[in-house]
Amino acid sequence: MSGFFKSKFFYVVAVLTLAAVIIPTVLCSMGLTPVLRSAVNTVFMPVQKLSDKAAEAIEGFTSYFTAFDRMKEENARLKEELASLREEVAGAREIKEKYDWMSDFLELKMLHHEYKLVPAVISGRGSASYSNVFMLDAGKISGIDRGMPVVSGDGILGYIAEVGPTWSKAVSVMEASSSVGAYVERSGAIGVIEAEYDLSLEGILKMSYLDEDADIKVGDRILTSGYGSIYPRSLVIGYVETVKTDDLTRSITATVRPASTLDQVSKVMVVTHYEVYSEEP
Amino acid sequence: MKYTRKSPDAADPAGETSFLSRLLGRFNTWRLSFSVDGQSIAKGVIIAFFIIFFSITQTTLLSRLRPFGAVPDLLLPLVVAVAMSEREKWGAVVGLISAFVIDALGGVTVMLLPLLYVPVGIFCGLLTTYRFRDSLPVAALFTVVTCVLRCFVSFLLALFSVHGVTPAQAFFDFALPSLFANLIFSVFPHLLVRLTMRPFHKTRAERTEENDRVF
Repeated sequence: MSGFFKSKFFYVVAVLTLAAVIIPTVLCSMGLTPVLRSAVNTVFMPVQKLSDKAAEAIEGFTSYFTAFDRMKEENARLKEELASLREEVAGAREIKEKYDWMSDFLELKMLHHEYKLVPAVISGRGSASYSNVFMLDAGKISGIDRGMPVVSGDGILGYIAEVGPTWSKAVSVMEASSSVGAYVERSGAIGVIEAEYDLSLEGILKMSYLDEDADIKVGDRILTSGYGSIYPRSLVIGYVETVKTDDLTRSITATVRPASTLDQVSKVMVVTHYEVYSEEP
Repeated sequence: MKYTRKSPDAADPAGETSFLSRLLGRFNTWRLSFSVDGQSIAKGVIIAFFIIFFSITQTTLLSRLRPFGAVPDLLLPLVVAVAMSEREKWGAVVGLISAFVIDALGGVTVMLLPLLYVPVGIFCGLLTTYRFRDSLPVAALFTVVTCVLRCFVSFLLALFSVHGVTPAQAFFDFALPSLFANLIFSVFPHLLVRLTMRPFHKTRAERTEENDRVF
């Protein structure tokens, strides 16, 4: 057996293994994408996209069984109601999906006419249980670059962390290490939205660094402040769920339910150009 | 026991000089003791398909469904199955390629999987050749051990990459669910590899003879 570890084959494999660990790790931490890694993603993207469509259908199928009782009851109630409309619904569903997508797109465009938006479809998600990463089917060719915000019609979803010619990888705003400058739409109170592990399990974000006299209430809409290098001003982050004042320090923290989550969307928009917020007149 | 290299001419004893045989002979002259013939190419194509299929399934379907609350690793049992079936060299190569592909598709910044997959491929192959037999209990044993190793890697990666997670949370929320998911789903790669590699296998007597010739 020891003969194997003295063979040239073993040395070659050992060197390649170390190279496969060190080179991509170093290049990715420098913000660069290794050519081979990029090639793998580029080649796999169409297959991954197709497979994700199939996965979406299978997910819908399996969720039918997991919530069988509720679905059965609901199905019986809806069956009569929908019998006469079934055919129209089938056609209308596709139209509605397109309409929703276009209206989200237009709404965002009307609100922020200076934005340049690139549509993209989520084609895959991170391979590890703890990662909040998702793959998009658009990349450099579509004008997408690292650090660009990813949004849906309802609000922000994350930012582009890695980009290839026809694909890009985005990190969700729920990623525990990310933070976003934010303000309360109603009062203008400024704070920072952060993802904390415990809260992220429930799909909730935390708003901290609020002034002790900050005017913030449950139900307030939280928008991006534009401070920081990623998100433009006035994009919706979410809605305040709870507000808590620390008895000792008198500081205020709030929990925020994101307006848009990855589970709800399959199509997103990448903001490729926007006006940078500045306090100067 | 001496580890000797195969002669570059071994693949072409009759002296045929077709383009393909010359091309394959060129590969053998790199003296990596990794023979390339028609059968190896067929096996390679099948295994490459498995790598693509399982990596895509893992990053799309299973990352959506999350059985047991985790994304099961399908490529590690594939490496184990290939290493047991085709021995250490195939295990090493498949481990390296699988780790690279899955890191490229679903990884974020730190790429550690080659350090797990390649040793797993090598040791499963070597242990099957020299210590155990390629049997179901041994496959189960290797799978459990490698799944525990994978669980430990998940635990470490979660601990260091998820901000604010405690060791207990990393263990109970990530490592333990991934262990169960990996164990259950490891059946599929093993089954597929065993079914598809069977036609390529020689009898034990032929294999022993070949091993004695190479080592």
